[in-house]
Amino acid sequence: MKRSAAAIYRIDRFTILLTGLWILLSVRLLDILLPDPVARLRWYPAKGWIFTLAGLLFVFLPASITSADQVVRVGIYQNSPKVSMSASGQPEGIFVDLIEAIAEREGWSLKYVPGTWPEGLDRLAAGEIDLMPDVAYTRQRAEIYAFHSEPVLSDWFQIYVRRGSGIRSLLDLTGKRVAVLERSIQQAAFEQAHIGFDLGVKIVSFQDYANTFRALEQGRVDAVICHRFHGTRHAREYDIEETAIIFSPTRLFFAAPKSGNPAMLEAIDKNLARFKKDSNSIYYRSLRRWTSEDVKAGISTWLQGAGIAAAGLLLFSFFWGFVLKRQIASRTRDLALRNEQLQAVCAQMKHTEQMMRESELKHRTLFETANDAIMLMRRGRFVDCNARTLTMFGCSREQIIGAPPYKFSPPTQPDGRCSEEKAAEKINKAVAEGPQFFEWEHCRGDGTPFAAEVSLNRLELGEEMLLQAIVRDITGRKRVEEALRATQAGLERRVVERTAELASAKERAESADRVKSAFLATMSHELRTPLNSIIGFTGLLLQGLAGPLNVEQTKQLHMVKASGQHLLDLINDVLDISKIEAGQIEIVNATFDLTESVRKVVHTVTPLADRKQLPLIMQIAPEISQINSDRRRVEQILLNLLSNAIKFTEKGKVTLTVDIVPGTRQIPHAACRISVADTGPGIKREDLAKLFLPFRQLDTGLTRQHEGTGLGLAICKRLAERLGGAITVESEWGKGSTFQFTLPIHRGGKL
Amino acid sequence: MKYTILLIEDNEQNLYLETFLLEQNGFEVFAAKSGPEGIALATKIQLDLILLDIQLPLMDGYAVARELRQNQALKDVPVVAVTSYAMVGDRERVLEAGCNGYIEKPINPDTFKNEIEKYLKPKPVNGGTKS
Repeated sequence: MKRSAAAIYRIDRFTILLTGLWILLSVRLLDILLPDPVARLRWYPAKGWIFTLAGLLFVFLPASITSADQVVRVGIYQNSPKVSMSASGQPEGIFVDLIEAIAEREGWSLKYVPGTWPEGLDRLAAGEIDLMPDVAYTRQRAEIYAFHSEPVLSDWFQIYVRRGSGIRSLLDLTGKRVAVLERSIQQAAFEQAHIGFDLGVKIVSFQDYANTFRALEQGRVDAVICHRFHGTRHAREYDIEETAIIFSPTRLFFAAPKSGNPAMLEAIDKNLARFKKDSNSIYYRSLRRWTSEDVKAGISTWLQGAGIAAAGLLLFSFFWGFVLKRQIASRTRDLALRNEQLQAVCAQMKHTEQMMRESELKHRTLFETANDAIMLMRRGRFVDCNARTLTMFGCSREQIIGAPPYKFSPPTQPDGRCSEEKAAEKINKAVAEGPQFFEWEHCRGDGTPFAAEVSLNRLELGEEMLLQAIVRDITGRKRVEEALRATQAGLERRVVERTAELASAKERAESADRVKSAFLATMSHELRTPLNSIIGFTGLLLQGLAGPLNVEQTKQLHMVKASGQHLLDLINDVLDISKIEAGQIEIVNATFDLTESVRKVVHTVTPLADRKQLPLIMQIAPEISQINSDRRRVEQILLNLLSNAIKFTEKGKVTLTVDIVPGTRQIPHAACRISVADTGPGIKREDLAKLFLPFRQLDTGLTRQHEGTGLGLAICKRLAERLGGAITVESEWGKGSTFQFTLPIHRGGKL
Repeated sequence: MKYTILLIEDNEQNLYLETFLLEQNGFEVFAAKSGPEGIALATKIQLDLILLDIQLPLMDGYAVARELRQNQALKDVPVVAVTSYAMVGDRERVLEAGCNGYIEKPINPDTFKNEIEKYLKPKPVNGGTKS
């Protein structure tokens, strides 16, 4: 369907002009034909109007004459009341009114290209049309199309649903089918609006709004996203209702191809600005016309048809109604402005409400999914609680709501106080002083008590005072604490017991030690007293003080003396080893010449070796000189080792070697090594371990062949250890033994 | 002139042994079988040395030594303990009680004379030798 508005205007203006000329001629003719001045006088007022009309026509005439031939192709699609094609095939709507008014001013020739919304967008992109009305500005679109800057209309999207569908909020749309205009900004805007909520909405696209509403009414979709202009005007034609869900305010423009003529967009801006300033301009008239419901699209046709008659009628009442009209126009403009403001406020309120709903949902979720029981109290009684409360207390919501806290507590608390009194006290404190935090014994529905941690917080909702109680079940924690306490108490008890046992053991040991010492002292004394006589008298007799002895008597008395001496040695050795083991032995360290000591001991034992005709070989390394140790004890050990070697060796030799060895693991510093090697019977491997035990003289035969107490080596080993050294033995059965006595040169490694 | 020695010893055999040994070595020996008896004797006789057993009836050697040391007339007479107490500290205890010397039992008959002679003051005429 093609139509040139400018052409129609030209024809209409021309007709009016001709009609005006005809009227003027007729009036002149009447003047001529009516010679009666009275009759002529009655015509004068009419003549004035006729001239006014004629003048007006002349004012409009130049516009028609100066109109140029620029053709502007405008896309038309069904989006009443902003733009649509009427039932009679005429383009109409707010955008059509405006572009026609602009075209008339700018002398454009408009050519309408009808189609669907998507077709229009395609054509615009392809440059097949010059303007597409009612295009919401978005950044993406601005990359494809050119927009003028003065918005034509402000708009927003609203969701429409079937009457009685129950859809009230954005979240109610979960899983629903939502209709949108194909390739509109609605889909993106809608997704923007429910960010953060995975609604799972199914989007269904339609070519125009009429189809979306029809589909909604027929149940093919559950909701429609529609802009306010169309919705306000057409929703009531269907059995549908609007919801409070609105979003995405937009500004609507004419869009031009990116490659289009910028002057055209500038002209649109210029004219829009001018229209918006004048409340009686086509802009406001069009808005009023298309936003009130009952205006029929056919009016303009009728108006055109009855143009001349209406003009006459209008002129007739022009002077009467002029002032009144101005007032009405002013009032209407005010109202329109007020209306716009109200709509904006309303939209803002709806948006806020939506935000509040979402916020409430979030808090509700937090409240319900918390792991602590959260309850609200008013005047000491529960008025609300979360789901955890029910599981924690094992009660139904009905049992909890309206009940006071002490109903869920045993009659008394662990401190013996009455639960009811103590609860009231805590509540009063929370109200008067602020948050309270304390442990409390609660009990579940079945009466089982449990330990809880309670926090009471005062909340003021308006003028109402509420108390929030957060209850945490600390049964598990208490159990662990209890177990820890029990373990600790057990440990402490055991430490005390053990300490007592040790003290008692120490006491017993000390007591035993005292008894042992006393026993040893007594034994020593009691043995020495008779030994004194035995050894003493034997000595007297052998000295001949009691008279001369024959050879046999002398020999036998020597045996008595040796036995007495042996007994005395035994007593001395037992005392020695006891002293060493009791740590009573006194070590007196001093620096002395080891070579000298060795020579002295060798000198002492040489008569024994000589008696058995045993060579006693002494090899002392030249670097051996001063050492720091207990001289008497060193000599005692050396004497013992050499005596043993001589005593047990019948043939061969005894070799004494003294040299220096580097530090070992046992003795970390350089040490003297005194080796005594003999060619005696040697020691069996199995006997080596027993060698240093007390009373272990190893015999080769059934009878003891050698004198000695059997304590010597045991004493030597212990003494050597007290001196920081060691005694070891190497032996081969039948070939001899080597005892090595290692001794630190300086005690404690000091130089 | 012989040295005069007081022997305080309760054991019959040891008393005999020591008396015999000392007399054979030229000493004049007085014997007492208890502390009080010994102290009584000591106040009556001019003594050159007292040999004192420690374990004694009625009054032990330590008490005897202390009393002898407190006696103005006897305080210069050397006292040597001859005792079977041979444990650690016994020597110190004996010396502390006021003895001048300590000889451990059993005594060695070969060296006993030499040991006691250390405590004797030299006699102007022919002292301490075999008569």
